[in-house]
Amino acid sequence: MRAIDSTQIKVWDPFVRLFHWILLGAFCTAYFSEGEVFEGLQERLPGELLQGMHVWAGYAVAGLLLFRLWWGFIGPRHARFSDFVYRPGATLAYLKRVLTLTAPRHLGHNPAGGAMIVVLLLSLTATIVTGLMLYGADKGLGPLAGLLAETGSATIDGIAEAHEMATNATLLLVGAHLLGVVWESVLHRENLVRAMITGRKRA
Amino acid sequence: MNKQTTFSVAALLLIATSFAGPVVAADSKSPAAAAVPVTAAAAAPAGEISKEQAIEMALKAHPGEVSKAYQDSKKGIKTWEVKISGADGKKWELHYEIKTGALVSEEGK
Repeated sequence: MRAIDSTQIKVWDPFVRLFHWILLGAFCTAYFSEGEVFEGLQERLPGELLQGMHVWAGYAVAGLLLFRLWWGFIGPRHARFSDFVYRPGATLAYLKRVLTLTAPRHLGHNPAGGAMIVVLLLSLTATIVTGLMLYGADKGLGPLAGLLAETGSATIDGIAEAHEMATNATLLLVGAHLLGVVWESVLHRENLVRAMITGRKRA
Repeated sequence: MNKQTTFSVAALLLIATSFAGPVVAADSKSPAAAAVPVTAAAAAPAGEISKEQAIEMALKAHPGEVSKAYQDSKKGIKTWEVKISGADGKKWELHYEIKTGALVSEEGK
């Protein structure tokens, strides 16, 4: 095993890192199995498989979101919401400094990164809730099936649209998140992607 | 326990818990499918239709090219879903109940 640089310190605990990468995998699986962009590939795969992949990936995301909510209260310091959720004013002020390349480095999530986590969790929650509603109302399956059994087709179309909108909002946020990671990595000369894999950052 | 072991245990635990939900969901939704395996060639009870029959019926209703046909569910009823790129320029989605062959839903966009 390679000797660990003594100036590196542990920032992201294993659960935060696993949450991050499994969430990425599950979201991609769900998007690949139903996203219109991949229609050409989907036509070559059995519909039962795609349907199963989509539902399983969705349940995995739901489980991960519940876990992250809980971990945000009881996890180690940098995993807690109290460590990275700032007032909107402070977040905007930080964003201004990001753009002028004067933003200070944070060991945990900086205010902009923290805000990104919150909106990403919210848009993923919206995606999951609308997905479960669609699954219950249209197919009559899942935990909401009983509740939404009488839903009419116009409402079902509306739910499907909301599910798509929430997914697209999540994708947009993922794009902004990636931009932020690259920007901060360059600004502070550190590899933030590697930090999310190893858990360590420069002290 | 060293760090690597802790990480591995954590990984396994998390993967196991994330997939616990879908396993339960899958079990609860398919008792019928487990009891009566629906295969096209099997000696089916009277009324039950095969995927091929569903495709045939769908094409008769909406001529075109079948882009997908698979086992699905509509309002809790197990169906064959047939997707057709219609000769009329519309994309059709038809659901036939597997047990009876009844048309459950028909949508063209």
